[in-house]
Amino acid sequence: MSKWSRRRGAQPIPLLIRIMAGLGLLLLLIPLAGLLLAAPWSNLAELLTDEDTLEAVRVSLIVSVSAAILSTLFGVPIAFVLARANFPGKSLLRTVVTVPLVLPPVVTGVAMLYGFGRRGLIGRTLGLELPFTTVGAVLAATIVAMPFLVLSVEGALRNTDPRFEQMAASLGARPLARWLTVTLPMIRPSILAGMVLAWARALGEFGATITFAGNLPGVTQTLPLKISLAFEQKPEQALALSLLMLAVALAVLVALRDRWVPRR
Amino acid sequence: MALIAIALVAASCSQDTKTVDVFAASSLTDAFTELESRYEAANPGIDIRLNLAGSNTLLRQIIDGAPADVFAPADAGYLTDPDLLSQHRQIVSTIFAGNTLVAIVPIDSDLKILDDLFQPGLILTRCADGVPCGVATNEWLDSQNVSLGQQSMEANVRSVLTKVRLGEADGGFVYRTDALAASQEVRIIELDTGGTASPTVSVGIADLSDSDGPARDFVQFVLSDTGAEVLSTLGFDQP
Repeated sequence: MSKWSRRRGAQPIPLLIRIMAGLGLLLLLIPLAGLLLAAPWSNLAELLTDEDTLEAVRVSLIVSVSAAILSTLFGVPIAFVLARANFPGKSLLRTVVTVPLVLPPVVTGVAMLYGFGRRGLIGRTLGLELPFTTVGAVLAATIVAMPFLVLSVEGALRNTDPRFEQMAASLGARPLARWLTVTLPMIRPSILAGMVLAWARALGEFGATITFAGNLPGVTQTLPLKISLAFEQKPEQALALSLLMLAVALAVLVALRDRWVPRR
Repeated sequence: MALIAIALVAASCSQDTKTVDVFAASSLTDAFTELESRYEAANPGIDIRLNLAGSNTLLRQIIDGAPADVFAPADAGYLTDPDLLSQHRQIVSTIFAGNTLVAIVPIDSDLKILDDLFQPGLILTRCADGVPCGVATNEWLDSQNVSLGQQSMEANVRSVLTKVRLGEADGGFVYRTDALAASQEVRIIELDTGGTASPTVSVGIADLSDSDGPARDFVQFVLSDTGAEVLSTLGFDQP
């Protein structure tokens, strides 16, 4: 009973609000329940260890980990610029950084074809061949995943006390050294949280990947692509793979439960 | 809550218009878009609503309960799927056209003949294994006893076409009608070499509505002379 008691001084929650919250929860839970009930539990191990599946797991790991690393290498500096610098066009920069969050990933994929495709803006000029390659899949995943890292890190930077950096400067630390030895350690938990979120988003990426990088088994066929195709041929394999993705998603959220929504 | 209900009702049926949900294969995109506009022009009270996707995606949706009135897969074999038959016992299907599998390359490609497609290092696109054009591609590859380099397995024939059209893939396998729909951007390489005929599929259609209504009428229209004329203009073979 004590677990359910209200916070001290909090007002009772009206019945209507509780009902609406319950309905909203059902909306989220019913599909998950359906998935768990339909899952082929008896031959799960077999379905998850066949050769094609392991190959998709391997591609997914390579692509998502690489995307998380690239997101960090580029995303932390972007977050730093957004949090600390003042310049005209800053709100435009923030829009550019966050637009993949709201854009349908398939649109990101189409845009990437015209930008990085071998007949696109950059590909044509530099003779690059990125579509249908693992590097292409990594780029697609990085573009959709980086905003999660940038937002997480920028928020943390805004909450740090700039006086630490000023103090380091007054002691003679050069700007880059100050950034590496004072600023970065202060926001390390947020960088880690951002990396995990970016990794999870990259792991789930589908639309931009299939549009830009195609669906080459062993090269660009990640787990979500495999699930989408398998669903029409071997639904029980799609279900088994969906369970795997769900388990990973839950693990990520449990690991991040205090980071994503700070607990009071 | 009430507002949402009203919005849903308003979206699902405007007054006096009957909607026919037609689930048609990607390879029928242009044909059925044209047939839709002709039929709607002649029958003002009917709204033909097209759901275009790979045949196996559509079949899956129908088996999972999607409200399809008409099903037209790229391969008539999909109309005898056991799960489909157990849902629609009265199904009557008709073969109304044929299609031919061809190879395509970007119009300015250096690849000229079929053998060029078997060079190492090319990026080829094709339909995935369960899609009719993927099944046809596999059968052809087996009969030729050849294997291809890296192949991107696309969910439907139109995404194969798009990737060759944009020049991002070096070549692909599609139906002749898809290739003709983009004849400014892709060049056809026939597959009938070595004494074997080109692989073909029979395109079928079935009324799933189980009633004598507009769905049946639309199917009759597809099978009519007007329908046949639209299909042959787009390059479909006679059934």
